[in-house]
Amino acid sequence: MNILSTLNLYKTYGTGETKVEALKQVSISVSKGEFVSVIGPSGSGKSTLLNMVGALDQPTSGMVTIDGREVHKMKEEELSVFRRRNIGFIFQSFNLIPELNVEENIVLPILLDYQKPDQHYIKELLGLLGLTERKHHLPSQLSGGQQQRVAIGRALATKPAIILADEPTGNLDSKNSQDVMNLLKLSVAQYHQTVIMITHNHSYASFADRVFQVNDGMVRELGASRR
Amino acid sequence: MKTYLDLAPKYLSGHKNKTRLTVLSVVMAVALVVGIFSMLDALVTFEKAQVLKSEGNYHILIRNPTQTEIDIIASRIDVENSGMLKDLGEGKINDEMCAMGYMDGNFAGNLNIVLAEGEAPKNDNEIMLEKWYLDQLALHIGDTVNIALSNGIADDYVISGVINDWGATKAASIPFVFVSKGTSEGLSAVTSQYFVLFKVGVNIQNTEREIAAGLNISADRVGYNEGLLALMLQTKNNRVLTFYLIGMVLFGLVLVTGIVMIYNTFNISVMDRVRQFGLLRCIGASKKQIRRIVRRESLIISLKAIPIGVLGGMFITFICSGILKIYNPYLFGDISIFSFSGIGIGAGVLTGLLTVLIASMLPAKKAAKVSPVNAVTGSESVKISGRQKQGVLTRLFPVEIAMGVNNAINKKRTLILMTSSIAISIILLLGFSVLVNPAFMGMKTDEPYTPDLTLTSDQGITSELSEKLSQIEGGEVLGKPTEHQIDLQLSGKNDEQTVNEVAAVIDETITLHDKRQLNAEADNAFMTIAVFIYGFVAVIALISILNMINTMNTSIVSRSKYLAMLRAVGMSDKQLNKMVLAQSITYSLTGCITGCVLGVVLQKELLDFLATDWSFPLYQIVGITVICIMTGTLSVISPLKKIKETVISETITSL
Repeated sequence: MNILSTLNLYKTYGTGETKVEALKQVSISVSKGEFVSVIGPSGSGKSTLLNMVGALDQPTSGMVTIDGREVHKMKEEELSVFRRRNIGFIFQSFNLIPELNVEENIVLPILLDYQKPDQHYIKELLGLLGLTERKHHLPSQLSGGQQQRVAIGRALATKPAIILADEPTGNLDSKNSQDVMNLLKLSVAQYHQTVIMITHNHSYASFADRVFQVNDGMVRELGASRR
Repeated sequence: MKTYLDLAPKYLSGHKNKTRLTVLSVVMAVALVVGIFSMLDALVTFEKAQVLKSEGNYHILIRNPTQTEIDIIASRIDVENSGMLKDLGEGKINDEMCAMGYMDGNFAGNLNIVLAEGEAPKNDNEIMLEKWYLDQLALHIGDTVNIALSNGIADDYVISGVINDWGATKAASIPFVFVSKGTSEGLSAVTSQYFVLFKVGVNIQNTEREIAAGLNISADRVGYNEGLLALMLQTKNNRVLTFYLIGMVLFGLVLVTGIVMIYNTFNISVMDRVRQFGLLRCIGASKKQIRRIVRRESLIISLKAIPIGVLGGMFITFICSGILKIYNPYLFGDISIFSFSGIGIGAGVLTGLLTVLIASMLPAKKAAKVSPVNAVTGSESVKISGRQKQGVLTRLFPVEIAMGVNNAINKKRTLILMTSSIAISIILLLGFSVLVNPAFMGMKTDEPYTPDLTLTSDQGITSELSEKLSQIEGGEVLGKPTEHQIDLQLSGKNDEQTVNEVAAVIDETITLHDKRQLNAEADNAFMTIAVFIYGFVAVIALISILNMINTMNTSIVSRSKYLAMLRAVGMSDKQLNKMVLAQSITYSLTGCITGCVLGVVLQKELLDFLATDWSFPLYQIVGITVICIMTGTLSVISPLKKIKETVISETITSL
């Protein structure tokens, strides 16, 4: 079953001389439980693709379907609610809320959805991420690796349809990067999550079930590279 | 954490520095509005007391009314009180000239004819006199005096009552004699005036028109208590309406200043917030939720700041009222210095709440426009302008100064905010200074050479006497004494004794005019307005300076990361000082120039409107410029100190 599919996706910025075609004719599909990575040089259109599939921006033309719902037809207010329930983000620079402690950062998306956090699940997540001891710490009291683990916890909190990770290991050393990759892998396996990860690092790209290469706004799939 | 809205207090307490500055800016804006409007309110109260004292407590008067008119008006349901005052012409009291009149007893108090002792004349052979006259002639209640009425008939009259002194008759040295109703009816009045006081809440203009139309009273027979009606906003007088228009412009400007002050403080640190809100949008916050968080934040800020601001504003008014009460405890004795002005507090609270709400919505709006991911990764937060002008500046100044000036000029948004913040205060100051103008206040000032005592004589004053007078301690002969007049000024110490000494050296050919009370009354009217208007200007100046320091603080605190980066790449503390100072002085000067230009235009317009002469306010502008530069310098000291105390790496890595 396809959790995400795009059909003939186009995104252009500007008009006339300054017109930039950030995405051209992109048609991809991702199944539930898949771990997909996206690679490509800077300016190739990776981030634009991420914005499209993350329901952050509307395409110029084409269709985006997530979990059977046509994202490109949604209104702004609808999109926020959709995003909050179905998409988890992980960023290169962690982007935790500095004023909130570890646990609060993780449950924030749930609170934004006016739900009561499932304490059992949160406890389990904290355990899985190795943050049980530090759940009352502020982000500034954590190392980079720990902060990124909190971000993963936050992305997993609402059990979203897709987790989008934008260079999640970009700011981490190799040991911590390895941990984060393992955690992402684990969440795919344990919670049957779908992960789409942008990365520069080809060896981490090969962690994924499938790899997409973006070049000049065109996306093509590299042969399956299952280990 | 129970709900996402708890983010608001957590954010505020997480950024103590910034929150404090924001709260402070709201406090000052609210204090400004509350202060100025409460002072206006208090001014009206004090002026009213003043007018009631000097003009009397009535609204309109009808000249030479007929008995029918009196009966109809007196029986109206909207009339609170009314009474007749008759001028019965000149008479003689013990062969000296006196003024004679009659006043209805029920209205005497309204015209400040206050019985000091005894009672009003009831029988036809009774009269009432002023206290100073009794004192001068050592007369007492029950004594008999001979009075020749205007019709020439002389008779003996018994003094039945004593009233408090009138400044005007005391200065003219002509006693006023009040006769009984019976006596007055037997005489033909020179003029008679029928005073009317309406009930509270009556539309005086309409009622007056109705009365005049109904009784066919011509316009020239109707008089108004202009001062009181003006204070009640019930006037038709053009000059007063002009005054109100100018007041409205200036007080409108105070509101605008309050709004700009708060708005700018919020705006300066907007970029950080865009990032914060972008992040929240990424993890699923809707625009509405962000608006709610922002609303919660502004509510918290308002709850903290507005009460302090209100208290501050009330304190300012308290000081002004206090000064007036100390100056004249008699006149303003009944007025409480703890004024609780509904208008002032209402205006302040409303300005504070609304502006905080609107101003804090801005970053949320901005964040909503930016793609959340871009907001988070910061790819759209840095905009480099196409043209680079630094080349010229670096050739003129050392690099750090060039950078400071450049920082100020290149960041257009901050430049506009800082400039407008400073400029509006200056405009306000220059605008209000229009009011500091005795001619405009419609009062004659008590010039230093106004005499307290004047001696006049028809038979001439000998130089011998003026010699004697100049030797009396505590008195000083003013100017060159003429043959018929000598002016004396008293030192203020033991005045009563000095007056007695003067009275002792003169003979009966010389009349002593005691002008002290009259002067004091004029002084008072001037003082009441002056205290408030100087109060307005002082409050505006003080708040402007504090606001400038605060805004400068905010702008530096919001750039602490950038400053830390410069220190990291090798900028020394000295260079940092120079750079920040250059930037702050650039803001001061742009604000100062804009403010002075617009302020002078406003000042000229207002004075033109009043048809008053305008001259270029050179001293004001020089003063303002000096204060601007000084404030610009002072304002960077404390934030710079704070920045230098923090460890560089901490500032750079902190989000």
